[in-house]
Amino acid sequence: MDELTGYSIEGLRALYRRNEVSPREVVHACIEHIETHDRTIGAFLETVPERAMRRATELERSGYADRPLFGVPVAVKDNICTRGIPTTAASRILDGYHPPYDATAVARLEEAGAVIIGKTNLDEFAMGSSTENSAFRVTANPWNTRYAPGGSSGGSAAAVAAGMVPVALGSDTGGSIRQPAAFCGVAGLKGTYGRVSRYGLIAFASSLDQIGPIAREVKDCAAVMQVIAGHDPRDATSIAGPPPDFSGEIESGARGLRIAIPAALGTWEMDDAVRRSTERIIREVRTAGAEMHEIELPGMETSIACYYILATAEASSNLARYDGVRYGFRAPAGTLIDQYERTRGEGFGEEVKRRILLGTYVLSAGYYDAYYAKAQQVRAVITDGYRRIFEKHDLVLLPASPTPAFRLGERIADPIAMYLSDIFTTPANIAGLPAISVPVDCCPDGLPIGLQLIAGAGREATLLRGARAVEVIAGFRERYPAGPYSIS
Amino acid sequence: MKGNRYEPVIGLEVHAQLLTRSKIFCGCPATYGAEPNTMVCPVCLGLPGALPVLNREAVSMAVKMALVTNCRIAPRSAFARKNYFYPDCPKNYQISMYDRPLCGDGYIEIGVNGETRRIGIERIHLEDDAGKLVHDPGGASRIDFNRCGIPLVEIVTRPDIRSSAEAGMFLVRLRQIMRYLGVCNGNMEQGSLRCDVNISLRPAGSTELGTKTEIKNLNSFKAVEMGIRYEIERQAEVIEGGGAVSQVTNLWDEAGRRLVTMRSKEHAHDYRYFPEPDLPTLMVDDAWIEEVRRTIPELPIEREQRFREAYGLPAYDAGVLSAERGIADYFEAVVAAANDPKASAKWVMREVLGELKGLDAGIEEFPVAPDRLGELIRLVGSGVISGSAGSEVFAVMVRSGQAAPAVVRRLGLTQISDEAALQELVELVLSDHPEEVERYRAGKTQLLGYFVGQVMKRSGGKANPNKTGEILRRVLGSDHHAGQ
Amino acid sequence: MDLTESELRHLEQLARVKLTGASREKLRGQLARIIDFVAKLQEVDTAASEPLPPAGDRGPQTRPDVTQPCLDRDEVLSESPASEGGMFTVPPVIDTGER
Ligand SMILES: [Mg+2]
Ligand SMILES: [Zn+2]
Repeated sequence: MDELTGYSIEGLRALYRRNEVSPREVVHACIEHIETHDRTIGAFLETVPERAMRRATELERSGYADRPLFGVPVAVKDNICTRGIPTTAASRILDGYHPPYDATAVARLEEAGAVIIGKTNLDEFAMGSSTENSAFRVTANPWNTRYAPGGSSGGSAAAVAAGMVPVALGSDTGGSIRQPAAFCGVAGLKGTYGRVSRYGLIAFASSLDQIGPIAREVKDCAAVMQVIAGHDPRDATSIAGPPPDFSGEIESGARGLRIAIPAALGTWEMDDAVRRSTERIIREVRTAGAEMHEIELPGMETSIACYYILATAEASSNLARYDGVRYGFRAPAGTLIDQYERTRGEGFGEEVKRRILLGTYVLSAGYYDAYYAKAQQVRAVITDGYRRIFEKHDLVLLPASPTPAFRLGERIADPIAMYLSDIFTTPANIAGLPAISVPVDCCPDGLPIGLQLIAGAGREATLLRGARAVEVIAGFRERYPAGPYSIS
Repeated sequence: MKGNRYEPVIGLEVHAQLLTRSKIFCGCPATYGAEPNTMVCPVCLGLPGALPVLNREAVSMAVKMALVTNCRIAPRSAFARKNYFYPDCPKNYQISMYDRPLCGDGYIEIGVNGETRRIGIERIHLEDDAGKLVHDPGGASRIDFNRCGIPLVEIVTRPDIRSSAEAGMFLVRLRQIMRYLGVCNGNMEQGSLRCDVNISLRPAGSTELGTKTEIKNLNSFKAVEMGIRYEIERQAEVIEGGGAVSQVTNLWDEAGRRLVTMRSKEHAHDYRYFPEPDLPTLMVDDAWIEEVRRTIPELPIEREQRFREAYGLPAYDAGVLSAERGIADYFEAVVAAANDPKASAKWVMREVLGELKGLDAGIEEFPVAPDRLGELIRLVGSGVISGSAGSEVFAVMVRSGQAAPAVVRRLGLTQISDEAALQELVELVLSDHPEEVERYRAGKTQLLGYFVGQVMKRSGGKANPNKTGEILRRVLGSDHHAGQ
Repeated sequence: MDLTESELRHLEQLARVKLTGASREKLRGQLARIIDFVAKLQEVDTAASEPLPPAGDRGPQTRPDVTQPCLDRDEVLSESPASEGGMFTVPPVIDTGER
């Protein structure tokens, strides 16, 4: 890793305060690092070096040094709208599309002094768990380039893991921040549903989607969250009032935390290394003074099915607007219906079409009650189950994913196997709860393992406290100081 | 007519554009007639990532409609997506309400042949309007999204309507109410008020429902009535011919004044409604309802009754003067200034409404303010000018915008009401017409009008005719008595 | 389950997506398996489930009736695959009374 690209936000701020570096130097170092390594990694769909340097220059002249993200380079997942920078959701149907406005999260980042470096790769419309469903490129896991970075925010996780940016924005609908963060050995936070405005996030499943940060350190997740969170009058589902102080109790440690452990953990199918790491962390967190209780975790058998019904139903409607009329790709045809069917047939990739058709099916006459309505009832049961757990506990602890990163191409032919890699992450989306993935170990193959914490609605500060405690206990950064090995 | 053996069962689905400043889910102005695609933003254009946020005023207007149509207002209601592909609909779903509408279970009363008929309102809900398609003959279709996102209330009646005339009366009443409330301008030709019809026939006396068909694209009150009449005829013919009515959609062809039946589709539309995840449950509490209730003005029916009872106006006059809120307000302001309801009614109906027709303008833009008309009416009432001079003054006021006294002075129209002056004129006239005086005195008293006319002529029209008559009667009478 | 040809065509029509070639057959099989997979939800007992509390307490549900600036038309139309005279264009639309 280059000298200037390994810093955390706090580290960068300290350098700026002492005038040891300028935003231009840091941004330039990031751009060079990306130019050198992104041929191998493929994290970015678009970089904006001139825009970033211009912005860094403006910052130097602006006297914005007190802003919380002054001179911090950020990457933004390419399903989040950036005015004037192409935003494609990694879909051919939006190839070359320039949004005329910024997502609220992006506007807040820039307002806080951050510098956007580029747009990162993802599974098309965030539908996938490996980033292999991108219409434009494959992203490799920086720890081992034959492996997938996870998904759908694989580009953001890989960019952060590879030291190209200290932080990136991702989006999480069923685990799309936490699973790639786990696969790439970085931290990924999804807030309570409504915590971050969805305005400008290209919708996949509106009732589940949340934007959140991916960073090398838990504290950086908190710092970015502090900037992007908060009510937005443009998003009627965003939470009212000012957000809590996410870093307020972040160094308070594990002592006194009431942590729930799934009683069935031992019976769940998962990779041995994941099981060993999870058990080690449980032991050490207990030793650090947390109360550990075994509980029955709701929805483990049902959440994936529930998720795929609700998410695809909403997606089938959300993606109806890509019709070749107002923007994006059009396959011209003589009749309007042919034009629609060909534009969408050729513009969408296979996974997206699969999900649109599944979503159409579960909403269609005769099937609505058995599928969509039933899934809503199951959602209510799961949500209520979690609400009860958080009456007595502060956190739930479980793996982020049943396995470390899998090989590129390994699961692409089997959609259900791919869906099951989200088994531990979807419940937090279904119940609208904040959750975070923290890197804790590497498996014998040298691939990272992530641990997940879930907190009650609105309890991000407690979540981040627990995550920071786990981070300190696990000592991942100290044990793997060189980070990803395959970058040479 | 064949239709007589069958009873039509008719329900209406009315869409009305609400008169909010901004659109229902975004801040674009909800204006009519702007340059194409200039009143659009990411939200109403359905750009990737944009989200709807509900306009509070649109809800208030729908609640207003609910309150005056005796509907229940749901404390919790929900928007739903209606999914269908059509190029005037940018998201390819409409944000509407489905199984949890805002209001329902009300009615509107109309008078039919002297009886009051109650037409049930099944539901009133909010939704967004689509853009406008322009069909180039033989070429491509063009789309203007300015209209897209203008708030609509959809008002669905129960199938309580039994004739085209009742449908027309219902619509007129509904339009009148909406205009009174200021929630819709009710312009069917411009499409701010639209009406679809559901219609079926059943044998007279039966209570079962027949297969219903739909009529769309009805863009005037006349089209609604004609369309219904034609469809009743058509269905009756099908049944008479031994056929079965099939579930079709008819489009009204305004140019050809006929119905065009669309081929029924293999698949019924499957709109795949589901709750709109971008909008939270809509909660309307009592405080909000009360806030809206306070803004509801006196409605036309109540006002008409008050005009009859408080002002002693005949039913017809009260109806005309209460039909439009603007006219009624104007009339009441005239009454307040003139202090003579009957005279005010006469002036407003004859002069003001007459002038308005020619002006092609709303009463709000009428050049004579109501207090100035009241002033004119007082001048006539107190005899300062004659009634006919009043009309002349009014015409000048309309053109010049001047106040009545100024016009009267300018035209020199002040009446001669002075006793001595009139007496002098009367004597001059009588001395010029000795023969007529003789005949009058011989009993031909109808000649009084003739003498009044002569006095008016000699005075250049300024003599107060009433006073002149009095003086003539006195002079002619007293001489007569004296001569006996 | 089996997803029949006509069922698949119906879904394609509703979703306005045309599948072609070998990928169509593959997708038909996958979709059938996925539908089977999610159908297991029907076995879950949800009798005691209460409908989700409305998300109404999240914040102001509505916005005031205030106008905001609109987009620049040229910028909007520059993203469009086809436009003419300030309007978007599509192949001829036949009114089917769908709306
Ligand atoms: Mg409607
Ligand atoms: Zn708009």
